[in-house]
Amino acid sequence: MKRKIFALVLVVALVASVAVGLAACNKDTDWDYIANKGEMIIGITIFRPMNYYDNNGNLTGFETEFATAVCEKLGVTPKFQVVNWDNKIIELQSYNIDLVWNGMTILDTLRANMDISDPYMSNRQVAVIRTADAGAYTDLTSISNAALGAERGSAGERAIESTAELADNDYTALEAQSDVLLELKSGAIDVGFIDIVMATASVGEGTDYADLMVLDNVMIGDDEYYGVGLRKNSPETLKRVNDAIKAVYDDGTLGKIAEKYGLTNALLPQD
Amino acid sequence: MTLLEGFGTTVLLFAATLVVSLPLGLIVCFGSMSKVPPIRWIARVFVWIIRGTPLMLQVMVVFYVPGLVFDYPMRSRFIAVFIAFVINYACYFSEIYRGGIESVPRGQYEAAQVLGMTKTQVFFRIILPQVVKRILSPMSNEVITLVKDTSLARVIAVEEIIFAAQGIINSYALIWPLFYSGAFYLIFVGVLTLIFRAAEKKLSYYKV
Repeated sequence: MKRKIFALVLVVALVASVAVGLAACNKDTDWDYIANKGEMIIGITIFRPMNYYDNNGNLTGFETEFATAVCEKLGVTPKFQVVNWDNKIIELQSYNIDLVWNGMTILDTLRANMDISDPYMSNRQVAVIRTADAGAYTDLTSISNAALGAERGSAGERAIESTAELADNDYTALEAQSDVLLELKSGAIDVGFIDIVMATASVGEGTDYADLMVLDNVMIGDDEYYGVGLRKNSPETLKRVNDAIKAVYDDGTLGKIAEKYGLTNALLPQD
Repeated sequence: MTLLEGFGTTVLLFAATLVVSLPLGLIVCFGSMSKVPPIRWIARVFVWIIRGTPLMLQVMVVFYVPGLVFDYPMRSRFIAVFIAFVINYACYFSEIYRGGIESVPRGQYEAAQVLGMTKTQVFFRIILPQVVKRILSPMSNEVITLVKDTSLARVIAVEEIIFAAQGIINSYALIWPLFYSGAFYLIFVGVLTLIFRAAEKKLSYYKV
C-alpha cells in the first residue's frame, strides 16, 4: 500500500512538472508566432455570402477570397477553421485560431478582448418578415406587437434593445442568424433582424426562404462596420493586416471580389 | 455529401468512445471499489466531478484549457472531444459496473473459492460473466444516450452531423438537412436496439 501511495505521488509530481514546463515556454510576439508557423488560421462560420460551400463542396465566399488575398500579401498560408461563433474570443486566446474574419461587426464590447482591424465594409440591420404578413407589417409602429428574434449578442440584438418602439415586444435570442430565418419560416417569431448582406443572399426566390422578404422601410440601430478580429495586444500583426487590407483595396483586388458577391456598395475606402 | 461526412464523424466518435471507455470504466470501477482508502476517495471524487458537470463544459475545458493556460493549443478538435467523451462515459460505465458487481451474491465468491480458484480467476470466470448479463439493459440505455450526445461535439465546431447540417442550411438556405440528420440518428439507434435485443436473448441462459 505504501508503494501505491508513492507511485501516486510520483504521478502527481510528473503531471505538475509537465504543466509548469509548458507554461514556461512563452511565446514571442504574436506576429513572430504566426510567421514562424507560416500559417494563418482564420476562424469563420458558414454563412452566405461571406463563407459558404459551393455546389462542389468547396469553401468560397466574399470573406474567403478576401482573406486569401490578404494572406498572400502577408506571405502566410490561410487555413480556414469553422468555429462556434459564441467561442470566437476564447478560440483566439487559446491560439486555436489567429484571426476572426467572418463579417464581424465592430463593437466596443469586443474591443475589450480583441484587437480589431480598420473597418472594410459597412452593414446595417434589416427586418425580415413572412411575405404573407406584408400587409400587416409595413413600418416600425406596425411591428410593435410582433414577436422578434435575432442572434444572441449580435448587432441585431443590440439594435432591438436600443429602439424605444420595440421595448415591449417579445424577444427571443437565437443561436445564429440562420436560425432567425428558420424561426420565421416556422412561425415561432414574426420579425427577425439580421445583417443586410446575409438577408439579401438568403431570402427570396431560389432559396428555401422564398416565402420570406426584407422589410425595406424599417431601419433600426446605427450604421455598423465589419472588421477583422485579432488577439488582444498584437500591434505588429494588426499593422501588417491593416497594411495588407489597404494593399488589396488599392490594387483593385478587393473591388473585384466585392463585385462578384454583389457587395460593391457596402465596401469602404481604405485611406 | 457533407451530411454523410458529418455522419461518419458521428459514428467514428461513437465507436472510438465506446471501445476505449468500456475497459477504462472497469478500471475506474475497481478504483472506486478499492480497499485502499486514498485510491477509493480519488476515484469517487473524480466520478463525482465528471458526473456532476455538464459534458458540454468538459468538452470546452479539454479543448481550450491547454491553449489558454499553457500556450499550447490543442491541434485536433476531434481528439479533444474524444478525450472528454471517453472520460465522461468511463465514469458512467464504472457506476453501472459497480452496481452489477455488487449485485452478485456473496455465495458465488465463496463457492468459487471453495473450488480452489484464485481471486483473479473468480472475478473473470465467475463474477464478470454474470455482471455482463445483469448490466446489459442499463448499458444499452447509456450507449443510446452516447449516440445522441455526440452532437455536443459541435460546441467546439467538430463537424458532426448536426453541425454539418447547419453548414448546409447556411450555405444553400435549405432546411431539409436537419430532418435527414434526425433520420440518421433514428436508424442508427434502431440498429443498436436490435443488436442489444439479440445480445440479451443470447445471454438469457440459466434464467430461473
